[in-house]
Amino acid sequence: MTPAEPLFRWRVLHLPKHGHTADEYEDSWAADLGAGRVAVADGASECAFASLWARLLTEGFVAAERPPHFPAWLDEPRRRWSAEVMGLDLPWYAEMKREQGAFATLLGLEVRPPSGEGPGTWRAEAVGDSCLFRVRKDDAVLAFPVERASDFGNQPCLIGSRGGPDSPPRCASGALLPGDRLFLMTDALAQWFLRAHEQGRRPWESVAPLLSAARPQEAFAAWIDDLRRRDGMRNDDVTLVSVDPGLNPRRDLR
Amino acid sequence: MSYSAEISRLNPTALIFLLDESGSMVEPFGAQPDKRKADGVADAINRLLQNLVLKCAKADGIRDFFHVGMVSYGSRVQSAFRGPLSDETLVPVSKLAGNPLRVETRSRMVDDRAGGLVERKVKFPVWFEAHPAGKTPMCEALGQAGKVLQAFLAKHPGCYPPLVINITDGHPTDGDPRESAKELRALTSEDGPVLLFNAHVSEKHDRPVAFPEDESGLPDDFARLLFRMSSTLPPKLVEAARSDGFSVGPHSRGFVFNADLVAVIRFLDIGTRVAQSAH
Repeated sequence: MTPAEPLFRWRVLHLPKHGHTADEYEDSWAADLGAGRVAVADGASECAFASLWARLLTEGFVAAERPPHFPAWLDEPRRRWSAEVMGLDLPWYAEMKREQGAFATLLGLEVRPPSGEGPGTWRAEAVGDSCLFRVRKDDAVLAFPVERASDFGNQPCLIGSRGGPDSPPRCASGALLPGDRLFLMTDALAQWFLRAHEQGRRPWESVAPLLSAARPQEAFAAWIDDLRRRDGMRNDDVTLVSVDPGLNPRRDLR
Repeated sequence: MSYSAEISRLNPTALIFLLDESGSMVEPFGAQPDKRKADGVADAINRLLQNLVLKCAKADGIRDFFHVGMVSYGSRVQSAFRGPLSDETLVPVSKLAGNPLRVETRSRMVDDRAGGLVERKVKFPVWFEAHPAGKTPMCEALGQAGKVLQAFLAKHPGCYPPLVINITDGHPTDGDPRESAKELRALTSEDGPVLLFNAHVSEKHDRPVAFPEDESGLPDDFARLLFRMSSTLPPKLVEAARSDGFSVGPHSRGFVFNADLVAVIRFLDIGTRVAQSAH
């Protein structure tokens, strides 16, 4: 069996909330190029062990039996979360927080290459307000699952580490045409991106130079810092995953 | 816009609880007649503090989003911290978390996630025990909160406006507290005036009231007095209360009658919340 070939190029840029250390960053991302999957998650700040849960969700999504099927594939990340935290000796407050479980959003994307004469496709599943943007011909933007900047709040749908009633994911899919770009973002950046687009700006143009910068992570940190100070971006952990399926994903990425 | 400052470790806010410990608090509590009103207050404050600590608790410790004060008023007006905190007037929430008087184990019926209930032992930290005696110097207590907050605001001028929560049966004995309340609410940070919320613990059996917009449904003069002293909920808190299932409007005030104010702790925005219904 030959190793799976990558179905897209991807880059990730991330930054913790201002005033927080890198250890306190509670977003997560994961990708499996062979499976054509990438995921981002945002651990809820009012939970304990949320960064672990966000990591298990993204890793679980990209590694799940295909196609990822809610909520059955959540059993494994939930089992792993319990295995990691249940034996810990904790002070009373952390014990109570563990009892409440951790919560996170999840956005998972699967990219399929062109087959025969058919175009490539994408399919996304989302619980909560981590967002996917498909930018086509430098203009047409498809936003999923939040479509307006005013629709963000501080109580998004979340997936819990201890089970309970799961919000069904929202799903979207479409064709991939040459030149299409996909961006996955956690909520603060997604809200800024949507607002900028609603104001007639082309926010994706700000992203391209960051990805090609000599030190992309540093350029990203300076850019986000500026948006927080000057352009009303909420202070929150920020994650951006850029996915470039290429002109013809199967051939282009060999 | 007021009430929009971020609450963070770099920019914490203050919460001060005023606890009525007067002699009249030995009377039975309308909502739970087998309890004294004073025990209703003790339960309320211990639950409020527990929720506050949990709000700031992460796996690796407590984040100091809040500085907490507790003033009791009865025979004397004094800091209600006891034990290791007894010399303190305002402590960061991490210090509060580490120093309850004791942690009790109580039994509670909880959802077994299979449609039934199961008894579970839960920890219940206790910071405050009531010893009701004496009069009700509410004006002095409001003044004491004002002094503590003046010092806090001088150090944290850009903070989210501090919140004072007064838990009482509403029988002040040292004058009309509306004037003291007005002075307290006149203190401001750059983000807006101090908020004063009141929880009325009454012997009356009238139905509980939470965050009313007017005083028409309130059962007596004490409730109306406390309603008038209470701040209007800022729009973001109205929004948070509504999404928790409370019936609120733009004129809703931070006042509850025979109901607890624990929900208010949930409304304070420190980041992504896990949704829950209030009722």
